[in-house]
Amino acid sequence: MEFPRVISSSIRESFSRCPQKFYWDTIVGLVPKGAPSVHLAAGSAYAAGLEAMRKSYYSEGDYDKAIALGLQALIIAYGPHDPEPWETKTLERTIAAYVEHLVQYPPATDHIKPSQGIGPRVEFSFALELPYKHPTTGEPLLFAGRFDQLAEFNGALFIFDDKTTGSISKYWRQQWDLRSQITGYVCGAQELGYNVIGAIIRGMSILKTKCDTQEAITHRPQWMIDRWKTRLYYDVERMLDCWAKNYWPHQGEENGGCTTYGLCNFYALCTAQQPEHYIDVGYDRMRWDPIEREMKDS
Amino acid sequence: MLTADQLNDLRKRALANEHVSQEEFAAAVKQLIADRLSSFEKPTKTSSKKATPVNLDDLI
Repeated sequence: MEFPRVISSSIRESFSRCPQKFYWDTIVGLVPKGAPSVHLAAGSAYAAGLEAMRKSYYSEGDYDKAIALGLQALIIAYGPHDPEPWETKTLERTIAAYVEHLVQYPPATDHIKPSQGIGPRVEFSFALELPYKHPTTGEPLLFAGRFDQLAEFNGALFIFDDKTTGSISKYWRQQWDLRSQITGYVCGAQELGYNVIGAIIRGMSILKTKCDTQEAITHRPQWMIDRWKTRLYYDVERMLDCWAKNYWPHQGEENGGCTTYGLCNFYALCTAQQPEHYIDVGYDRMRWDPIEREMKDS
Repeated sequence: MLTADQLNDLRKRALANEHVSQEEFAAAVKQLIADRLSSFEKPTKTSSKKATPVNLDDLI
């Protein structure tokens, strides 16, 4: 059991959804055995392809080299797993999404470009020190995040993030106006001294026969960032309280969270009287490191 | 048109750390872009069936 030294948006989201889920995935450090989720594999591969393409193009300007590096990175990130036949996000469709991006937003004329520092600010990371101590090491807790670009648009600085989805719903744009993850990114960049005024989210829907794109521009006024910080501190205090009491409420039982995004990964454990009997059969002992951006043994 | 077999071959070699040249990757992407662009040029399918004129007097 280990309390996280770094809090990320996804760790916090897991806790908000269900402290018991947070207990299994972050405190104990469990991931289901077997192939990774196809949604995760496709999303990561698409992001890896665009990252490699942008880094190369916006530093060297060689289009052929950039698109080649992008495809190579995408294929390697997708890995050797083939999803079930009924799944949409196959390697072929993920490559189709990468190609659709190049068709709709050729890097030479893309209206959004990464800002330039030592190089193009692609894959931008930040970490903020929180006013709380780690319960076992006594070191300050950190809040960390990473987004796709610190971008320039119309002479202003924006957070930029690519998102993949199944289909783009009616309220796809509005969902970003209040999304805590985006507010955290804006706050993180501002605290590093960048005058970021909002975020641009570029969505790519990956379907069996076509790919669609849509873009959302959303702003973050100071009052919204202050509200986000208050909630972040509230959540961290609750995490520390759960740790101190070693009590992790099964929130999913109250809000339907066990089946909201498909079946929760820990359904088998929460439906067992003695869940520890099922851990080694169904789970690997690993946890996500938000700084290194990789799974590590827990 | 880039075939699924060609794509799978590229994937197999990339994952096996075999040498795949940048030119080969770039050619694959360019071919896929060309395939996608050609779909913009295809005319929209129209139905060969024409609406049958209706005598309005028959409707009353």
